[in-house]
Amino acid sequence: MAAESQMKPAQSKAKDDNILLEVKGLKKYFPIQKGLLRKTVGYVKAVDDVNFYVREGETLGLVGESGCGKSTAGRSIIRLYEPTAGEVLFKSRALGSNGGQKMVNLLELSPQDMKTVRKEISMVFQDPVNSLNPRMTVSDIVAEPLTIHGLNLGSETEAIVISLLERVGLRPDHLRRYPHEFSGGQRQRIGIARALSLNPRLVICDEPVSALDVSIQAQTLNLLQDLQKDFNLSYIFVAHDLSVVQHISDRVAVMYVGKVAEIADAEELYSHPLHPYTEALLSAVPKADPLYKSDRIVMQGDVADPSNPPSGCYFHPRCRYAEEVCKLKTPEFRELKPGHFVACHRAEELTLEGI
Amino acid sequence: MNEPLIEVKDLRVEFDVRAGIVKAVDGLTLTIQRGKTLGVIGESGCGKSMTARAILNMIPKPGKITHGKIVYHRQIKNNGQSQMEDIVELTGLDPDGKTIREIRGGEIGMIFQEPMSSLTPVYTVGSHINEAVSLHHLTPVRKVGDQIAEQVMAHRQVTKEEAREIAIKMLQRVGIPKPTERVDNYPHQLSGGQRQRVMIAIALSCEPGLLIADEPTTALDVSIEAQILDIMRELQESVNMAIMFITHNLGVIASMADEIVVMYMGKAVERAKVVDLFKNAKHPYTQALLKSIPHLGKKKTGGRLASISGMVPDPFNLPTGCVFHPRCPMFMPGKCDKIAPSWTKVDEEHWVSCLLYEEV
Repeated sequence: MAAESQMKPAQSKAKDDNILLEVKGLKKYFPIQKGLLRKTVGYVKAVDDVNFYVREGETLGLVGESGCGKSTAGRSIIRLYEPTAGEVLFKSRALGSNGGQKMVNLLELSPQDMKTVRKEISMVFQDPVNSLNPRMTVSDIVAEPLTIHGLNLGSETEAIVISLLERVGLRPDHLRRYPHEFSGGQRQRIGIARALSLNPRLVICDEPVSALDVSIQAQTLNLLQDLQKDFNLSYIFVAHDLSVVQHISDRVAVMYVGKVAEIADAEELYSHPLHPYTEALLSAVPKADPLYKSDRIVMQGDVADPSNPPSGCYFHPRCRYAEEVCKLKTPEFRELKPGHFVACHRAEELTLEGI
Repeated sequence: MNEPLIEVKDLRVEFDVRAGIVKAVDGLTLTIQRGKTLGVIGESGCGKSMTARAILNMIPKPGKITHGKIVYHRQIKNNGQSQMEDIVELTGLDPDGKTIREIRGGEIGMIFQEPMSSLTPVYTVGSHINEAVSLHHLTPVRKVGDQIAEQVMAHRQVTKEEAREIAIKMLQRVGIPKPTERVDNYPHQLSGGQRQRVMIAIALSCEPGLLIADEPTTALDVSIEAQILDIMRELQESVNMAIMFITHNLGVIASMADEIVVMYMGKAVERAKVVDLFKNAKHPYTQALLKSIPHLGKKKTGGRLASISGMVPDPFNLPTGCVFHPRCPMFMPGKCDKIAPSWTKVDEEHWVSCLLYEEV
């Protein structure tokens, strides 16, 4: 029964039992250390009380400007960074008994169990040059996760690697080559093949197309979508490009200085934003249409410093709707419409422009 | 109305490396008009940045301009009033000579992409580099105000105090808060967006007739990018400055350019007014580029992007005929792989280099 319902991608709008991953109150503080004794003098609150969930087979886009904590949030989920606090609940198949599934808190797992779960969650990184070991052949790179998990089956492994390479659009004769022999787009495909080698259910893509040219970016996005359909993958897609995120995501979370400002279905978020930051961000994106005349909202100043954020709502110094309350109180993150969450004091009364 | 400022004629830039000769720019012709913005778009390695460097006579070794001319219509300023026009052929100048040094920074300003490390490989060799570097890199150990002031003093007859005043005024103009304090800051005390604004302040401090902006906002967030583009537009209007805007971002170029040149493998494949190019692109490469980007706000329709098949060809082993033919959806066998297309006028101020529009 349960297995059957997993086969279909989630359709329903409400939060339901199709949740694959749920992040609750996730925090990642990096200490600022000074002096000879490395005394901690403060914290960079890179991720500060973040909540979201990902359904099976869907893509959650995580957008925001540099330093907003979107990459850190992605990495904290699989404990590449050890989170400071919070819960990361994941519906694991590997830890379930008798082929069933079990909701586990990744942050409480033993190293042994964590390693088991890591088979189900993989990552694709931004930089296709530095994320591949230059001394390993493509075959070794793609097979490495299998080796690490003791699944290297000798001769069969090569067949698995070849089928993975073919699946991402590379040729079997690429097997013995080294990363430097490939273009950026091809290297990203190698990274994707590696991420798929353990048959994951969730792939965290950290700016996977930012370093690629537009034509290659389109190929890579198409590939990611095809793979999602074929393997019923869930993606957390971290990126700063709002049009790419809109294109690939079912739902989108907008982050600002370590906090989620707004989450909604992609179309809803882009057409009816509820947070002034989302509105400003959308209006700032240059449109590829010379006849498009927008009343661009130019946000003043820079992104707030996460080690010394402003009081109240972190966005208030740049917000054109800010009032006294915004300086004093941290806004509550609440569900204003079904599936549409926002953290803004004035969300109810404001009418904001979407795209 | 149109008054040419820079005319690039049949420019060729070649790199003689061990594996052979790479034609970074291969027979490029374009014109930059006074007070207008020319957008140059194309994917990495298409030669757009090399063209900019050729105009500044700053081709890194082992690159060389092997053919062509770059004609600069220079205005000689007399008592602040522009008078006569002097025609200078930039490629003929000594890259270390006095004239080009006056032009660089003084009459042609430049802003490059912010991650400065992206430029370093180019600047590890060559003797004329030091100056070029100081022109478009912020030195970490010196105050930003001094760096602007130095640029001003190098090109204008002003005292140190006056130069500092100009520096403060420029910082204010590019939207840096508290310029009187910021002028004594070091670059590391500024954010990425602010550093890029300082670079713009330096580039514009001498009110150049042409600003070459090579991916000036690529490393910046959209909110900062919007600020920088606004500043560039404002300054362009106030001093009638021409801009050569190089980018791969079609959204940015749509809002900035008057005219656009599309480059592929060192050649211009299409040139048109901005609206024409976006609404009525002729070259299959331009059409494919425009289709391959996701458009913000457009509803999803099943959601696949049109991608260009294949990859940019190996520069040592270029395809015969039209260089785009192996990736072209309109490929005509027996024609495109045999005959190199020539520059064809398809409309008023709209040129394309494609055999579809030629009678062969």
